[in-house]
Amino acid sequence: MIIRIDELSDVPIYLQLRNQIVMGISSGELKSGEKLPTVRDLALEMGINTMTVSKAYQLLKTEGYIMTDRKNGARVRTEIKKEAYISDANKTELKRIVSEARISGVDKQELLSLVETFWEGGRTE
Amino acid sequence: MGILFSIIICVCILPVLFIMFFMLYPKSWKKSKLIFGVTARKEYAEGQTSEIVSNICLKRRGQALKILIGSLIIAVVLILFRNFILQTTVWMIYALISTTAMGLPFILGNKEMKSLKKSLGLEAGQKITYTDFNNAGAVHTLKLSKILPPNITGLLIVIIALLMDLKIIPISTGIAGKFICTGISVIFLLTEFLITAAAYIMDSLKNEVISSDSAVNANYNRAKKKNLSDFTVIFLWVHVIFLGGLFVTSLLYYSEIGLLISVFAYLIILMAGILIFIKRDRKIESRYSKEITVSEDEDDYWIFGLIYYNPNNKRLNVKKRVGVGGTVNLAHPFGKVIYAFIVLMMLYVFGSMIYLGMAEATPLKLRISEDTLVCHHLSDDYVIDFDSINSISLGEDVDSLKFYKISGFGMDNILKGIYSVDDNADCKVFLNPQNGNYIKIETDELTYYVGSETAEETSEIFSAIRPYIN
Repeated sequence: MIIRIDELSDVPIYLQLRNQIVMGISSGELKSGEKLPTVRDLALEMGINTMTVSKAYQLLKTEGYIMTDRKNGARVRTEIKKEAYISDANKTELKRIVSEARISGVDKQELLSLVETFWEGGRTE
Repeated sequence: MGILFSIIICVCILPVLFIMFFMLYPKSWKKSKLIFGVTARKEYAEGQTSEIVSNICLKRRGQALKILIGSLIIAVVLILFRNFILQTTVWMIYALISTTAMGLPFILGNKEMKSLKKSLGLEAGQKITYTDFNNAGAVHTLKLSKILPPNITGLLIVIIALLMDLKIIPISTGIAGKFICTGISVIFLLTEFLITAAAYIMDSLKNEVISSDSAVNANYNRAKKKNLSDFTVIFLWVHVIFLGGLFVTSLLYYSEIGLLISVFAYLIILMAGILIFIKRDRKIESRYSKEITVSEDEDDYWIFGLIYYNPNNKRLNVKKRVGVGGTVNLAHPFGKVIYAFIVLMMLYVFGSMIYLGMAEATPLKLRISEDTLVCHHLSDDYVIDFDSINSISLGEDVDSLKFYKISGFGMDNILKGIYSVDDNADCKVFLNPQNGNYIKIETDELTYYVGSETAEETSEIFSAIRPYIN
């Protein structure tokens, strides 16, 4: 899985990392029970502070996407809690995306097809 | 020593110039990932832009070729007219100028490519970095089992040299007990440790992301790192074999020709190793060029395409854009320290060149002052009290003596410092070997071999001292 970080984005790097890992789990690129790189290895590879990676992992753990223990490090949870619920924050974000798409003249079908693609696990740049 | 020194310098510098030429100025830019340190994009290969890029490459390659040929001609001239003063300084300046000059067309090419990129509107609006999540910290090819043996062999040589200098292992040559062999071996061993440390740093460099497929990235990075680790291991063995050879020959029989041959062989093998490394590296690049689907634009972080400055990257070490191995991030605090150290080292070398030039141009002077013989050269004064002299003689043939420098100067016109002379290591030398004659002075502690600016002056000083000696 390729992590794509925009250094000039307003979204903090730890959140971008968290989002990318969530997308990886959703698309199946990160399988259930799969071991994640250690905080140190990932920070070194990405050229960012270990605290940033640690914060992203901590958030993912709190949200129930990954589990961590001293012996095995971080892993994707084998059973992620299925609440079948979209948070208010995500609803607002989705509304913003739909609104922007409508203003810029994007066809509704095109937008739905994009949602379909993401739903099926495809990733676009 | 003059011609020997010139040849050693040429063997060191000229292959570097050739390697610089072939690495910085490839014949075809269309297959390269980078053009003068700027990321190659498909837009550059389109229509008129392709012609512009070709012209830039052709022009800069032509300039580099002219600089290469000019440097070769100057080297030949310097060898042929070797009887000039300030020889060491001239060669050092030559090395500095020729290598810098070879890089200049590259810097200009980098500037032109960045302007072209800007004019085409290809400047990055975002600063996107890619990381292969699955390969983070997972691709390493440097094996401890391969790195340890040459280091242990080097360490053994140091131990043997130390035991010889401590006279626990008896040897009959005059250099035993003077810690010359130990000193040389330790320097070589430290170099090996540095190479090993550098190799480990290279092995932990960020994995390049060329594809959205992690397996492709892993294979690509593994191939590149394997090439580098193979080269490092070979380099370490060549280094240790050279050290061993030098050690044995210096114990058995020291000769300038022997030294020249070993240095020559060492450098030839090293250069051959670098060429094989480059060839293999290019083969890997060519093999994976079809797999490239991800391209990271870091052009703005590369000053002249050579110096990396990225405050957003917390890594100290990054892969070089051009050349072998890695470089440091100048924006990193420790990177700044390393660059400052490099600048200081360059200033030191430059200062040394000036000092050596002054030393070479300043004649040696002997004078008698209040029952002492003063040997004066620059800021050095060797003072020999007449009372301490046991015997004094005038030698007419300096070439019949075998000098082996322990510390000090060793130039065509100056031998100054502690020397082993005819296997006697307790000697202080202060003479111009080109004059032919010398005064040999034996004291309780040391034997001096001294001479003045001219042979006549040396003879006069000898005649003047002789009546004082019983």
